[in-house]
Amino acid sequence: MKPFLPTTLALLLASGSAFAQEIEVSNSWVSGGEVAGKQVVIDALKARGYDWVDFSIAGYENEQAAFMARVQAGDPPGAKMYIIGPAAAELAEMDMLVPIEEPLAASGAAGAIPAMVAEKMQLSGKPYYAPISVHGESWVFYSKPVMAEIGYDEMPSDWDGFFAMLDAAKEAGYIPVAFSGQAWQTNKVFNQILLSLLGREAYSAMLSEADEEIVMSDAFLQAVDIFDRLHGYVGEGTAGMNWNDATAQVIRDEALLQFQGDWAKGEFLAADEAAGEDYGCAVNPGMGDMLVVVDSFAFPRKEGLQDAQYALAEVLLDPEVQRQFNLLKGSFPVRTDVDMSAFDICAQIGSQKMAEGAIAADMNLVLDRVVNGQIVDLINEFWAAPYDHEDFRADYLDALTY
Amino acid sequence: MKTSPRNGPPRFRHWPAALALSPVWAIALLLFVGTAGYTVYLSFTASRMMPVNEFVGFEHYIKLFGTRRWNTSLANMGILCVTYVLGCLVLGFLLAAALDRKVRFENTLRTIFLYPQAVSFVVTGLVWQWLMNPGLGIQAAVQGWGWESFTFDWTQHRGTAIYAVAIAGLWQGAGLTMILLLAGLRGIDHSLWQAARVEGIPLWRTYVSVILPELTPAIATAATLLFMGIVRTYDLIVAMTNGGPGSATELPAKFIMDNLFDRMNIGAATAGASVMLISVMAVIVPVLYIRALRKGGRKPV
Amino acid sequence: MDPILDIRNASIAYGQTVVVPELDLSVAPGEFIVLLGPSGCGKSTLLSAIAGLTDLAGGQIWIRGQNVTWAEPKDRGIGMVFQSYALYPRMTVEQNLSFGLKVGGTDKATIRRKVAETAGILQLEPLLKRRPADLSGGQRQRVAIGRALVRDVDVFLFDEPLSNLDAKLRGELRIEIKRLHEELQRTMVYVTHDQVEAMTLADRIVVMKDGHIQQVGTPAEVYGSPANLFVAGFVGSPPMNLLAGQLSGGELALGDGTRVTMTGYPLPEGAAGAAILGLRPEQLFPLEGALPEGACRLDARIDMAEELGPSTVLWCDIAGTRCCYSVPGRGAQAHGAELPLFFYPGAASLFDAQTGQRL
Repeated sequence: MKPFLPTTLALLLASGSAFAQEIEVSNSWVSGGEVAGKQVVIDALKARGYDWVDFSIAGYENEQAAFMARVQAGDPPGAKMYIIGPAAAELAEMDMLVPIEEPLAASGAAGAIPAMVAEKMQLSGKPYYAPISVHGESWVFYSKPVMAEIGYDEMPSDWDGFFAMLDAAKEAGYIPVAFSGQAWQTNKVFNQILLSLLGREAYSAMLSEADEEIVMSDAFLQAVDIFDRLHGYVGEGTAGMNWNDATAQVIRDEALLQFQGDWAKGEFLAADEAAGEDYGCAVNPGMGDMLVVVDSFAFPRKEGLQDAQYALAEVLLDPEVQRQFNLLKGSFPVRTDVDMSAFDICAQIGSQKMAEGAIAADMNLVLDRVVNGQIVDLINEFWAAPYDHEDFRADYLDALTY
Repeated sequence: MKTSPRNGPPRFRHWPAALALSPVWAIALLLFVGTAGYTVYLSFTASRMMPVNEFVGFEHYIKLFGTRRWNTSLANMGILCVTYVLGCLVLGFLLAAALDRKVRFENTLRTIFLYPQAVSFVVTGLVWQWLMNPGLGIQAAVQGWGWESFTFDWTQHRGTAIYAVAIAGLWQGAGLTMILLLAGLRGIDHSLWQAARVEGIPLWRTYVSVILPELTPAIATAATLLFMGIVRTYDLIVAMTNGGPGSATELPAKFIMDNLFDRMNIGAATAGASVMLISVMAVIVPVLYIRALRKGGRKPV
Repeated sequence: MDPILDIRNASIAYGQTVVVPELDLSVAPGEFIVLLGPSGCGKSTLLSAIAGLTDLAGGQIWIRGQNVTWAEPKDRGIGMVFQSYALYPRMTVEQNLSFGLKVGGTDKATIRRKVAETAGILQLEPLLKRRPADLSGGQRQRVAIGRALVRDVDVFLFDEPLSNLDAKLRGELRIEIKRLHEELQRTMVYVTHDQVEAMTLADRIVVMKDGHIQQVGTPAEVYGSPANLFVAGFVGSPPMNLLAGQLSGGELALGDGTRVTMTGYPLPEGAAGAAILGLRPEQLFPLEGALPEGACRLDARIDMAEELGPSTVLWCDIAGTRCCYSVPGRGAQAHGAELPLFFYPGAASLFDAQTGQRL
């Protein structure tokens, strides 16, 4: 009884796609910049004779849930937006995804993709993700007027200097750190601090190998200290506050800075603020590496759809598509051979970091979602009610090896 | 000699009806018992993103009760059972009793009190998130009126956030409780009130000794619905606090949903769901059993 | 003797709707008064006003020489028995009986004594530990009466107490209530729409219609000499035969030309014009042989017979009006048979056709 419905549906859909050369694409891109960027891809795909059928749901988690429901019903869409990493590993292991060696070779992207990304594109030894854009996650966005008023013209390069600056902002009556208590936000801030103290190699090794020694290092403890110390610098009502409400505090020059990913640029843009003029972007103090996430697509195995899937993969890997897409979305291209002259200063810094290899993958790209979730829970518990830092370090190790 | 259906044992007498209803029973069994059974089954497997059949015994359960967030969820459920269920019952009863006194504008008031029920929990959650946000909501407003020292920032602290959720839930749930209890009150013979009045029994005493005991079935129904509501509560939490601060307002349903979809951990999610199933059964089954006993034991009048 | 219950010029209204306009009624101590009337006649409303559950729009109610018009029900010295019994469902019979006293602060020993007394009178002893749900309708009714009884009240109010019971039980409880009244000699005001209850129980019947009292009198008076056409038609089953005619000089000319001389009827001076002759079914009788002294004759054609066992009701046509008469035992007549029927005008009723009032 169970296979009956999905098979019928699959047949119906397969016959449908055979006529119209359609490929249904699951994604969570619904905001202004995302939709504009998506249109670039849709147009390029159309030029190759395939129609993009949009299956978009707001919120990555919601979209993920809807996608999984369709996979479990035996009727996946033809492509699915993913953050590269282990997210689709289980599907790849079960041979439910189409590897993309051919389009990867055809696009000539192989040499232009940074090593870290190239490695994370692979699952079980084959490339499955077609990456299109990179988001720098560990930015510090700051209000230039506030910065000027408290007598700074650039971001201090070490944490002591950083806290001195926060004190100055506090004294001047500003909220030093615009902070939103959303779980993923709190998590990002901690990781950002952690990366700045561990450096990209130790940080990545700690996550991918659950390295006890690194967790037990002084640098880790120092990161916890700094994270905890931020409690004294955040505004009121941070619990449950949305990240963009916090960004708005910086935009309104009420707060000095926010730890945020580069999607915050969209908020500044919407408020008519220009990068480098009204607000600045800096990589955090410390070792200067940047956390990144990479947006990509993977392709569920589906009868008769491989041509369309290959075509979409090639489009996604195309340098010009990547340039236009990222200009609109506010991120920067995965390919390091794209002309960056039209991009803003933040994207240029990001692209530069990437070319230098000074990037580390966000823990989403490395960790299993279950472990990932354990860590997010832990960090949020700690932020809500700080306790002994060494105990926290032990708990962190437990979560990492969950 | 043929036995006519009239003379046969009573259980064979209605077989055409039973036959006609059998597909309904089959579907009900398949849907409810089948899915519940499958859920329990999965909780003993190594399923993560996709269901698999590899058995891992009680591993998920052991991990579950070693997870702080899950234990917090259960404790929060307990807190809501007391605050939210009792609160709804008390407030709902007071509202229902007030309306039952034949007040003017009863229909309007009833609509107003019931209105929150028509609002999605997501909306309720968002509105109360704003109301309870110290910078935007009640605190800001009261301070703006000149009471500078007034604080109402329950959502911001781990110890109080769950009570903030209870208040939002109360706002939404009291109306339904009121309607259920009002229906119960309306079902009470009017002459009972008169009899009590003729005997000189004070109003409050009439409520306590005569009316409340009569409302027991309505109260039990309301309490069961409210309890089930807590077991299901997901959207309110997501919209209002998203489980925070930390895991202070996590509830089992959210834990299960997060594990099922976001964390791709079917095993843990189904183990959590199974625990909830058992706890719901633990509440419902005794209630049903006692009712069945009472019915069976009652002599025909 | 002073009346124990005195209703003076009372009127009752629900909003703008007047249910009972100005009504007067006096009840003597120990009297059993039945308020009788069709539904909607205001009898229950009147009872509820006596109890203090409904406010008066005007007038006064006096009980035992006290003006209780605005007194709380509990301070009026009344006890009430409801149609639905209104027993406290979650309490045992004993608790039902004692609850009012307990709340009123009566000491425990007294409560125990009174409950035992009441239970004795109403034979409730074996039921004391049961709950209302485990009692039969008749038992519940006895408990309801008991609840009024324990409170030592001056006036008992019964609001259609038997109408939820089946016919057999109704008969039994009727006798029980009658016995109770004779034993206790308390004042009782009893509302019913059942004329058999009214006839059997009442010392005096108050017949009501549209909030107005139509007649107050003993059952015999109400039955034998109805004050108007409404009472004549409402009381008695089968109903009174009503024959229209023209009255002149003590003689009534019926529709078919039959003339009857109202010998022995206390006709008022100069009564004349359209009138209606009222005859109870048992007042008409067939007769063989000579016409008895003072009886009048009517010609009837038999239509149909209803055998009731102890008596037979014969339906017939008299002067173009459908009538009936009853004979003891089995007295069926052939369909279409024609025969003379007789009656004594002195026992008959005569009403003014215009006003409906008794002449």
